[in-house]
Amino acid sequence: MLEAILGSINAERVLLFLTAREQGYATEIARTFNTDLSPIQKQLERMERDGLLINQKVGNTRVYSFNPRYAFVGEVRQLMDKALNMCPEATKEELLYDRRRPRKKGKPL
Amino acid sequence: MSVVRGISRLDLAGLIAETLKSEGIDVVLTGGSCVSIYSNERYVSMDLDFIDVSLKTNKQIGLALKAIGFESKHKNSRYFAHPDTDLTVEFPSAPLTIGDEFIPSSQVASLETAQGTLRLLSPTDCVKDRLANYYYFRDRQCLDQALMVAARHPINLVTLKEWHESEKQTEQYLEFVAAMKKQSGAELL
Repeated sequence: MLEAILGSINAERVLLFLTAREQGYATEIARTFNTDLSPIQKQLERMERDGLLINQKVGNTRVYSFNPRYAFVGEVRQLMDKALNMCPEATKEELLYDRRRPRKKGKPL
Repeated sequence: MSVVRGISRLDLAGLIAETLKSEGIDVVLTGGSCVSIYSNERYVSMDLDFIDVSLKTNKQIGLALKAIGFESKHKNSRYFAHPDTDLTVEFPSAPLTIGDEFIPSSQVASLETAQGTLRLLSPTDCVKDRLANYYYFRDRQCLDQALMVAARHPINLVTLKEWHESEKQTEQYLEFVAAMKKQSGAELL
């Protein structure tokens, strides 16, 4: 949807994911969109280099989120919210209804 | 001998700014190094963060910095290092903003250094910059840095209050002013 503006389908995927979930790491973004890890990593690194994203290391994982100090973060989120609303229902559900509440180790589903 | 070896932070920042200016690149120093300069190195930052307000490419910046020996490790990087100094140079992306506030050229301060003119955040904007980090990232050190600058330089409380209001941090403004008053030596405009 936003390839014309963002120049890359993977940039769109990264931003859709972070808009829906607030934070994320490369593997889970790639897994969610059933795509290769490397282009997702590249987009995350580029967006971090250019100030749109920040990352924090949690264990061995780099967890990315929007940089609240980026000058256009509000506008980017607004655009991505609109795009998220126009995603196919299945994608929207996958992104928005991911269970992240704590779950006891070993508890059956 | 290297022009960089042994020179102070202020002079190095001035040298970088002048070197870039000669290539048509206008930069403003922001971040922790402004605190170091305004606090006479009571706080020691290891980075020089410049915003390129002339919107040149990373490649153009890299080529200009190469003339004085700064190199980046990666292609198109915004980070540069020099073998004769521990200070690294970074170029966070433009525009020059603090929270939602755009800082126009007319609001930028300047200092004369032995190496040329350095444009940098004014003490009031430096305080806002540190407070933005404190409010967004809960980085307590940044609050201390803001107080450090406020203790040594006149701070414009009218614009500081307006900035807090636009950032929806009105209560935090009162807390900051109280902390300023508590520490001696803060000169209020």
